[in-house]
Amino acid sequence: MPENKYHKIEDFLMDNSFVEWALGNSGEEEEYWKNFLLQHPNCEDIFKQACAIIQSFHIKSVNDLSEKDIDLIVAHVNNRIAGGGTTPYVQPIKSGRNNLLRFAAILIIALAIGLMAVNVSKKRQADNQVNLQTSSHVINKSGVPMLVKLPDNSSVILQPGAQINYPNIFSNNKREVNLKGDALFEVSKNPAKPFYVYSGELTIRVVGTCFKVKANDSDGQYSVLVSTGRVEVSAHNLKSTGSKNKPSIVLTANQQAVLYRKGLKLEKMVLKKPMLLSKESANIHFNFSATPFSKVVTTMEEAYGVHITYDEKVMGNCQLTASLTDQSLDERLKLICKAVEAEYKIIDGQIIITGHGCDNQLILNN
Amino acid sequence: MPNYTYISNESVLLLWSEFRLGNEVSYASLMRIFSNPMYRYGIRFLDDPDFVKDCIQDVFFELWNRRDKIRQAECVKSYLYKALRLRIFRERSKWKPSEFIEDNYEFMVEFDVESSIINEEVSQEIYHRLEKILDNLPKRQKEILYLRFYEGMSPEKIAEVMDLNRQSVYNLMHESIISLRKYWAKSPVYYCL
Repeated sequence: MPENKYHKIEDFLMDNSFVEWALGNSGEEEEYWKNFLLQHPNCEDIFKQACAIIQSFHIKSVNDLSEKDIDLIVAHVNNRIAGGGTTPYVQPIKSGRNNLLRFAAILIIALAIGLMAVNVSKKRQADNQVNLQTSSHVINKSGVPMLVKLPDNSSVILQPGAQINYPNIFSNNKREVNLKGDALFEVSKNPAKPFYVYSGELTIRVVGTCFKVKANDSDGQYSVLVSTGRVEVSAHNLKSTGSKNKPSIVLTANQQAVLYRKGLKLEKMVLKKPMLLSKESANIHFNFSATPFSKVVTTMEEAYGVHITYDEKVMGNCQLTASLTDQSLDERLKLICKAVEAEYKIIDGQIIITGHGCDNQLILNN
Repeated sequence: MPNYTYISNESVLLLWSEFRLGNEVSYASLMRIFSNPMYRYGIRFLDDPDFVKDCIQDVFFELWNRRDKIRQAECVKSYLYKALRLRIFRERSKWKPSEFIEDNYEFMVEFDVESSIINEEVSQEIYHRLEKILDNLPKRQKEILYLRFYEGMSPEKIAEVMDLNRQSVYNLMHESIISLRKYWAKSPVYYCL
């Protein structure tokens, strides 16, 4: 029998590896503790007692912060960072000493803001592929798709793990963004300012359209799938291969371009099934006729691959009659909300619809 | 609703390093991830939700201002817990200066055996006994047990949060576990070889 260093309950409870295992956090040592009793059958009693003590450690939880509380904390901190002053929930008891402290705090805040402005602009110039002065960098670290609104009102739905870099103000003649990972783009129409997506070796040029990009660094291939409009895809590493053909492809609705990164090959293919947001699909799926609200939401969720939160109890009796075959995500949300007298908000990349519910069916003429 | 419970430690560390470079989006994510856990911990010291929320705000505000002086934390959670703990003690001293002695704090945890999954082998009676022992522990020991077995924090991190040395954490933990064990089992088998 292997040597045993655990003789008492406290030997187990003081042991990191045991506690981690009993709390369900262990990795490598999982097997060891699973088999512990087989190796040391004499210890069964105290082993089980030690497990039971840890399992019984339930502490009455306090009321958690609501989403709204958290939103407020973030908003207040951001407001203070931006120099908007403090917005405390409670005021401390006033004293002479306190006022002095406050005065000092204001000075420090003012100084800090000055420093911050310098830092931010320096940092931003340095790390952007697209050379613009102020930009935003959004990474979807959550496990769900995340909606990002661009300054030109285009929408991007970032899949988990995807990230995008875009300027806070687009330049005069171009809209340029950098993308890593998978995303769905719905680009607002503006022929005067073509929209460029740079992603690894790919450059995608669009005028106003809806398309999907799959550009995971770890994948052997990148693909661009077009729902509506016209997109030009080029891959700059192909230029050096000496190929006579111009390494770019023009895609229209329901077509796909695939870049095989190893073979340095860019191929165009027609999709067998039309994209959910293409005209053909939209004509089928986005014509609502006394459609329950939940079904409308599901249609939107499936088409855009983004989660929409709403109160089913409240909105359950709402119905929608509308033809939304030719709208953008924004327009669709607006019209749906208008019809059921609701509002939508985008918080942290998630769409949230709030309303009072419906007494009778409303018809939207569009 | 966004749900952050499954965020991995690596993602948190990445957010932290981006925050240190001045990325506001990452910072907002950090605030969203940690506000509630910090609140749960902070409310144990003083049952005043608005006060604790204010302290959380202050911690995040000051942290942002000091971000270029902050090292890459090994564990963001213990860093933030420590900052909140200090902030609560400091703020409280403004309110009631006479009471400001750090040792004079309370740590309110109610052990809840009703809701725990009752193990078939352990009787209801034993759970209630445990509840009683835990409720009567000194506050420091309560806090350590809370961080160790409820938050799953390692003794090293607990030492950092509570500003104690590692040995003190071990000693206090050992003491509380001994008192638990003493009352835990009536069965005479304490030793096994």
